[in-house]
Amino acid sequence: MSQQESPTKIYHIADLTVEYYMRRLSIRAVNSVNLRIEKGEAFGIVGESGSGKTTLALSLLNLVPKPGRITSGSIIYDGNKDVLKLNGNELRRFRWEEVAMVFQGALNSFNPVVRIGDQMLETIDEHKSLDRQEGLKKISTLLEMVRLDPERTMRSFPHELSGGMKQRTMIAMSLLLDPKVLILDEPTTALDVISQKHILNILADLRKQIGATIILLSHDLAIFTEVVERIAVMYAGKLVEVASMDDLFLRPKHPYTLGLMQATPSVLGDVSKLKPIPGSPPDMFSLPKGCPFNPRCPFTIDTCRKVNPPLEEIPGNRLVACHRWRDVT
Amino acid sequence: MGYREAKETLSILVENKRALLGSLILLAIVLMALIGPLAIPLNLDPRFDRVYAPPSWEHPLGCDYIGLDILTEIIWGARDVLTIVVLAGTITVVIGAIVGLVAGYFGGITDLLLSSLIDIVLTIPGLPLVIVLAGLTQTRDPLSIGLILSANSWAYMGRSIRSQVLSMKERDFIEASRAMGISKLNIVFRDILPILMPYVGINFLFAIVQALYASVALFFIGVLPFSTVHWGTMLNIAMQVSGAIFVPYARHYVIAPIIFIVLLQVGLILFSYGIEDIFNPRLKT
Repeated sequence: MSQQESPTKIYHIADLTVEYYMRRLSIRAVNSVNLRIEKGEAFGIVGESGSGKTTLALSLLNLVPKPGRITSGSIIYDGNKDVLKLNGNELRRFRWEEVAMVFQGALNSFNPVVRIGDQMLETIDEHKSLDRQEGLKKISTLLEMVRLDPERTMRSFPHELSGGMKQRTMIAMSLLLDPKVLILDEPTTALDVISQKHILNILADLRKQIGATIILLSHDLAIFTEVVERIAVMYAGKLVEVASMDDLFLRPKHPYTLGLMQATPSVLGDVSKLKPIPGSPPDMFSLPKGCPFNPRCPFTIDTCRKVNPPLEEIPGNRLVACHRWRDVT
Repeated sequence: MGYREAKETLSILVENKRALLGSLILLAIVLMALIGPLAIPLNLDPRFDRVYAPPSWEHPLGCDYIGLDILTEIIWGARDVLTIVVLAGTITVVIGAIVGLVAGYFGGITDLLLSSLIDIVLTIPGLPLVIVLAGLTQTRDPLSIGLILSANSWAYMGRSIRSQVLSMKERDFIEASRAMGISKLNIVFRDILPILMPYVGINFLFAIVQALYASVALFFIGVLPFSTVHWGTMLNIAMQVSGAIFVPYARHYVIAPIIFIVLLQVGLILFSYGIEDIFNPRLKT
């Protein structure tokens, strides 16, 4: 990955900080994040709960909920559009026409008293992209693409669909306006493994058919292997490592990534050989001085307790934020 | 879709016995108001030979102080009564819902202004306000009476809808709608309103009940110009003009309008038990 400006970047995030303001304290959910996402790639963001993945994803749509605020940085979309400077109307068009998002808990993303078909039509109407007939046809095509029975699904109320079906409907809905970027936040959470596999297959197919940029967020490393090419690891609101899928899995350079690998069970592996990461996720109200991972890190030296390492480029076209990346193997 | 939905609604009503009874009562009163005046002419010529005649086959509810058939008066009165209360209920609910939805969803300065307006209106006692307005305007027009009757009640509606919207707008699917670039107005009226429909429906019925009380009261105390056949007018005449209340053999003249007023109330309240079911998508297929 080159660090130069290039027209192929769909997203160029610079120095993005998002803070949630509580009564007296504030939390930095996203802390000076720099990230470039290439056009057409499948990009993954992994991190445990509370690491700031969702907040980062919501900022990509300028949709950070109150009391959150984007306090600094810029998000340039497609080389020329600053997402954070769009006005109300531009923003409405930008959302879903350029970038669509499948939310965490898509299961709750449907209005319980409106039939699925009507909910999908509402989105089409709002953006005036298609007339009603074309709209219905498009909805049918998309529902078929995610392997649902269009007739039945459109007539259903959300409670009549299973979790997996809702998730697939949500994916279909996200594609209604042919977005260039599709953000999926934990698309397989709360689903059984069969449905998970199903969703991942659909995602892989979709990439081939549509060629959109896909940004996949999860805490589950396993699901990335199916779809993702490049991956960023997030910890306490910071990106700690960005690398290609293979590099990250085979040669992690950040102790946290290494810990994740050692803590991920495989189907055939011996569960007793798993090594959990010691300690618990950081208290976002009082992050440790220096590197936020230092209290849990087996490689900690004095510098780690004093200086927060910046995300730097290292050989092999990858980025890591660790003083001791050379020693991590 | 329309036919299907109607059939579904009907079958839901049949399931709920209370609501079924209520809707039958309402249906009977509405039919009476619509068809009755066409079938039975209203003759206002006094017939002193049958003043306070007791109920009989010819006059099922007896006759009044100038010998007119009471049932005929009730039937002709129903039209006026229903027009006024339905108008009042509709105005209350429409204004209340719009104000509540907009204040709740838009928030900020809009909310501040609308909430303050609601608070101010709510400090004015309801019935006295209505009496003063009615006395000042001396209107006969049902729409104006409807407006007077909702002068204060929309504010209750607006306040409670607002609080419902406040809790609704943080829900995941509303967040999702925002992400889809749905405009605020469409979120309010196409996403939030459908969820609040059972609430709005029940409030509509209760607004009608309130308007019925109030309109009868206005005619009863005589602040509105007489419309000869309104049930409230009948009560007013029975109590204050003819003195029927003091005459033992004229009791039926007092009781008849009261029974119909109570019947209409009971019908409305029983029907309100079915509203929740009608709007519940889980009972639909």
